Amino acid sequence: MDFLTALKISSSGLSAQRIRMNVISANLTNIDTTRTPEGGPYRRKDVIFAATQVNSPFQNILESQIKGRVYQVNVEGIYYDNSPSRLKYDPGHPDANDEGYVALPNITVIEEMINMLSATRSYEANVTAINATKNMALKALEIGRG
Amino acid sequence: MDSRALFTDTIAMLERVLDFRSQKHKLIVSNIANLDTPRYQAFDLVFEDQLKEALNEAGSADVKISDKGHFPIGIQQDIHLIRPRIVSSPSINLSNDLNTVDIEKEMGKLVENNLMYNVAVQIIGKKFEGIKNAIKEGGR
Repeated sequence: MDFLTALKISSSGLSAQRIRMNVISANLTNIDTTRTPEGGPYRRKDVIFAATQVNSPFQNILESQIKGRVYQVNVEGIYYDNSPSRLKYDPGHPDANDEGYVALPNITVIEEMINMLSATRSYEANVTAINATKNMALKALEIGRG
Repeated sequence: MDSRALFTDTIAMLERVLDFRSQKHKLIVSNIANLDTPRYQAFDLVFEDQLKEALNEAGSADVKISDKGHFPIGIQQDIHLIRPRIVSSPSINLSNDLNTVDIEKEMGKLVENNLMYNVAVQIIGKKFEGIKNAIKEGGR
């Protein structure tokens, strides 16, 4: 049995959640940013997760039964949220339009906070899974001891 | 000498259990990693019932069961024929993104599977210890 596959799957989960966390941090940081290189206010970003097959170097007969059922998670891309910008009345702002409204990023703190919590919990779940894998691998070594 | 005389069916069976447990572990880990993946379908490996059946059908040629209260000894059915089933884990889907992972259930399964793996390892260890004891301590 290769525990390495299990470790690979869990670490893919860790890295995916970390990337998600980075995107959430960027959103929170830029919550009031009105200027971006692309022009206009900052737009909210989010990640796309996709389940992808794991290629294990050790394929055996038993393995073939769960083959095609074990997936790791990959960040397939980061997309822009196309919801409209928040408009705030602030005529003194240099980026205000003719009517005195400033377009602010389409980010809500609550939504980001909840996504952050979700990412943290998922990350923790993967850490727990890695510890369990490690435990099993170490335990198996005990057969040969003594 | 037939090695089966020394390393009985019990060890072969426990080996098999370890195999199943580690495969099941892989599936659980995959479910946990894909907790936030849209349209991901959770799977589980089920083998306990088949193992139980294999053990119940036991009744070795040497030990006859003459009374209902007797426990069967030995494994007659070839444990290598046990084929675990892959089932898609939950039947209901509560999330909007068609993901069927139930994280509480998966974490529970993770711990249970881990403990049962450790149990099997411990029993194998004891089995070997017993054999060693018989070899070393017999002459004293």
